[in-house]
Order: sequence, then structure tokens, then C-alpha cells
Amino acid sequence: MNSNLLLQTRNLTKSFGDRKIINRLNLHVMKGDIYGFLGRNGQGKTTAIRLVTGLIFPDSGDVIIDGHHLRNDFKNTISNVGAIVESPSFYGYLSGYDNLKLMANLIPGIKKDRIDEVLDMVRLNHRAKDKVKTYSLGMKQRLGIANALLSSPKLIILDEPTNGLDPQGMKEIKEMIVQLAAERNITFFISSHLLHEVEQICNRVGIIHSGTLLCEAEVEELTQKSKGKSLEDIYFDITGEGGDLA
Amino acid sequence: MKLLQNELYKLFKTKKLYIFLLILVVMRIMAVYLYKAGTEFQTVIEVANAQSLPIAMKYDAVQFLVIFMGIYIADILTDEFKTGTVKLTLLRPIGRAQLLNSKFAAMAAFAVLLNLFLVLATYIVGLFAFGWGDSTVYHGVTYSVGDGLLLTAKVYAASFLPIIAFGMICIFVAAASKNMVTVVAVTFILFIVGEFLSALSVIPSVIRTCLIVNQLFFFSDYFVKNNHHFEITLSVVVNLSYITVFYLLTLVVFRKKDVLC
Ligand SMILES: Nc1ncnc2c1ncn2[C@@H]1O[C@H](COP(=O)(O)OP(=O)(O)O)[C@@H](O)[C@H]1O
Ligand SMILES: [Mg+2]
Repeated sequence: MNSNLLLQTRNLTKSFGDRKIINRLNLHVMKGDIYGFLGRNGQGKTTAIRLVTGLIFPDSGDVIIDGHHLRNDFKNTISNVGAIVESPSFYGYLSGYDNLKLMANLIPGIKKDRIDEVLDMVRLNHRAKDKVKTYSLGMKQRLGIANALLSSPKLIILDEPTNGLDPQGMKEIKEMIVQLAAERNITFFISSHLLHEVEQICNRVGIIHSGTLLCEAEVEELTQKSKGKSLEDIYFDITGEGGDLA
Repeated sequence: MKLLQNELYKLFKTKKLYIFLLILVVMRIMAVYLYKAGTEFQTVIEVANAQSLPIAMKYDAVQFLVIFMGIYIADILTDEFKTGTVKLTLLRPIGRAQLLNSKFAAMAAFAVLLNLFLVLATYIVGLFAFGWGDSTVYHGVTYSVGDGLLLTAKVYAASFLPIIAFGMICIFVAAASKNMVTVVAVTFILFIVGEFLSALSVIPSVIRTCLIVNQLFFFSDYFVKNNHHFEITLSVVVNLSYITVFYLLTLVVFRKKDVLC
């Protein structure tokens, strides 16, 4: 057992009806990773994240986070995690600050100024008193990250955090992730279908295709082995799909 | 406890609550206005004074309370599962049973709030329209002011039990269905069908007594007179059974529910 292992799934399997959406998934996320969970739309990324965060239940297999088994120790397991699953949802009629206040109520022993602290980290203080329904998608995404940071978790899981953002918004989020990882010692697990996006900030990747993990490796190792090919080309090599989507 | 605090905080921040309260007040004002306009033969008002008004009108608002409960429950359950805000709570160290308990408590608090408000509003509307009066009159019996207040309190307090039983049934419907309209529609249809059944004299009266609709309307009546021990015992058992059975059913649904928002 590797003590550096922060998130591990063991043969995680889930079907909807008779369609197997996740098939014997074995993920390994190390402490300090910015882990890119890659796959095209509909390959099972969000479903896997739902399983890892206990929002849905696997047919079989286990999720282990920092030594805690999700199946029989949900509260201690989830206490180590902050997450945005699918998209950041908040109460639109409340301000960003009030949304976080409600969440802070649910975290035992949280410090009073923690809300201001996390709003500061995602640079949202100036709009914190405005109702969330007036926020742009990028701001909601940042509020989602603030919410994930609230309990000072070891692991933050973000589901397509740059999806739908303009180039400036994407850049901000990516910079934020890199900075938080470096300064606060947070491990990130980020799903994305934008391969080159992830290449810039991730040190490790897992590639999921039709619910199966095809490859899991260090980004450096991958690009070295394939003599400097881009992650995108490697992806198409691995999944056996032509680079040309047409 | 923290979860319930959160629910109440959200409740007081939504416009819907204030619309509900406004509707209740307007209904009371309309009833009093109609009475004054000379349609008293159709109203439940026996004696035009403020202290007799809440108890005389206790059934008047049941339909509204039931609809408001349905909407509120759909809001805090179905809608949260649909819009994804329930993830905020479920991604915290909160068990599914804890979440259900907080929704149950919120529903009960909502019912208490609406009823208290309704009684107060009725007294106030009555005060403006008729003045306080010398004594409370209900079903032809005259009570002193103190006894009248006590009777009103007793009747409204008793009405909570079936209201909460009804709310628990709504919670089950809300937990099991995917959109808000279904919840409100199903609970309303249940209510109408129940009203119909409870009026069918071919069904033995003991069974009719057990219908939730009957309970909503008549449970508190048993407390007005003193000789209804059997009905009270039966009704308490019936209501507690509704609460227990639907709580357990909801818990089973909740525990296994896939959160796909
Ligand atoms: N509730 C559901 N019922 C049936 N199929 C679903 C459900 N949710 C997702 N799927 C299917 O599972 C597959 C993976 O979906 P998802 O995990 O959302 O993919 P991704 O996040 O990688 O885009 C898709 O083919 C999708 O159609
Ligand atoms: Mg997805």
C-alpha cells in the first residue's frame, strides 16, 4: 500500500439500466497531484465523480480516500474532499456569501473568517454580497471552488471547471488551481474533455473511454515515450480514434 | 439542528413564504367582508366577534394550507434534487437520514408557522371588522373569554398532528418523484380523492375516519367535546402510523437515491 495514495478506486462499476457506464475503474491519485481525468463527452467522467463523492452508489467496487472507505465511513471520507460535480449549483436568491455561510454551518470547528478567506482565494470578495443569480458562469465556478475550499480539504475534485468559460475565465481558473496546489498543498482531480487544456497544468492523467480507464500515467512520461507528441495525439493513439473527428 | 437552521434561513429568504402569508390574510379579509355584505347564511361565522373567529374558520384554510405545504415540500426536496443544490449538503459530512430528518423538521416548522400566523391574522382581522366581543361562541355553545382562547389553542394545536402526517406523505411523494408539478398535483389529487371517499357513506365510518383528509378536517373537533376518547385514540394511532410508515418508506428511497443533478 502506497502511503502517497490519496484517492483510489478499486474495480468501480456502475450501470444505468443494462448499460455499463463505468467498468472496473481503478484510479490512483497521489498526494500533491494535479490529476487530469480525460475523456470525450459522454465517456463517464461525471458518473465516476458522482461515485467517488457518494452521490450515487456503485454496483460493485470501492472508493478509498486518505485511508477511509466511502462505503462504510462516508462522513470521514467526504470530510477530506471538496467538490464541484457536473456544475456549480447554488441558491440563486441568496448572496454568494450567504450560500457559503449556510455551508460553513455544516462544517464542525470552522473558523469565523474562513468564508472571507476562501472568497479572497478565488477573488470574489467584491461581488460576495450580490445574489448568485446575477453571477456569470465563471463567477459561479469560482464560488464553487470557494465552497470546495471551505473545509480545508486535502482533495478537491472539479468536474470540467473551464467548460463554457471564455478564454480569460479559463486562464484565471487554471492559474488559480496551480496556485492553490502549490501554496496550500491541495491535491486536485480535474475532469476535462479539453486535452491541451489539461496538459498545461496536470502532472498526471487518466484517460477514460466508454467507462474504461485506458491509461494512467505521468504526463512527462507519456510525452517522452511518444517522442514529444501532444497529449491530444497520444489520446487518439490510445483510444484508437482518428485525430480527425469528422 | 444546523441543517434545520439552514432550512429556516432559506425559507425566510424566499418570496414564496410572504406570498403564502399574504394569501391567508386576504382570504380572511374576504370572508369577513362577505359576511358583512350579507351572505352570512353561507358562512361558518356564528357570532361576529374576533375571539370566535379563528375557531369558527378553522377548516376554511385547510385546502390552502395543504397546497402551500405541497409547494413548500416540493421546493425543499424535488426542486433541490432537480437544480442540484442538494449536492451542496450531500457533499458535506451529512448522512442521508440526517438530511431527511431536517426536511421533516422544516416541514413541521413550516406548518406551525403558517398556523400560528393564520390564528393571529384571523384575530386581528376580526378585531378590525367586529371588535373583540364578550364571549366565544362555537357550535352554539358560549364560552368565557379564557375558555374560548383555551379551546382555540387546543383545537389548532391538535390540528398539527394530521397536518404533519399529511406533510410526511407529501415528503414521500416528493422524494419519489422527479418534478415539482407532479408533487403538487399528486398531493392535491390525493386530497380530492380523499374528500370524495370520506363522503361516501357505503364505506364504514371507522375506515373513513382513518383517511388523512378526514383527519385533517375533523381530528381537532374531537377535542371540543369531552366524550370522544375512542375517536381521539384511534386518530392518534392513525396519524402516528401515517407518519411512521411514510417516514420509513421515504428513508428507504432516500438511502438508495442516486443524485443525478
Ligand atoms: N441518469 C442516467 N441514466 C442513464 N444514462 C446516463 C445517466 N447519466 C449518464 N448517463 C450516460 O452515461 C454516459 C456517461 O455520462 P457522463 O458520466 O455524464 O459522461 P461525461 O461526464 O464524461 O461527459 C453517457 O453515455 C450518458 O448518456
Ligand atoms: Mg460530465
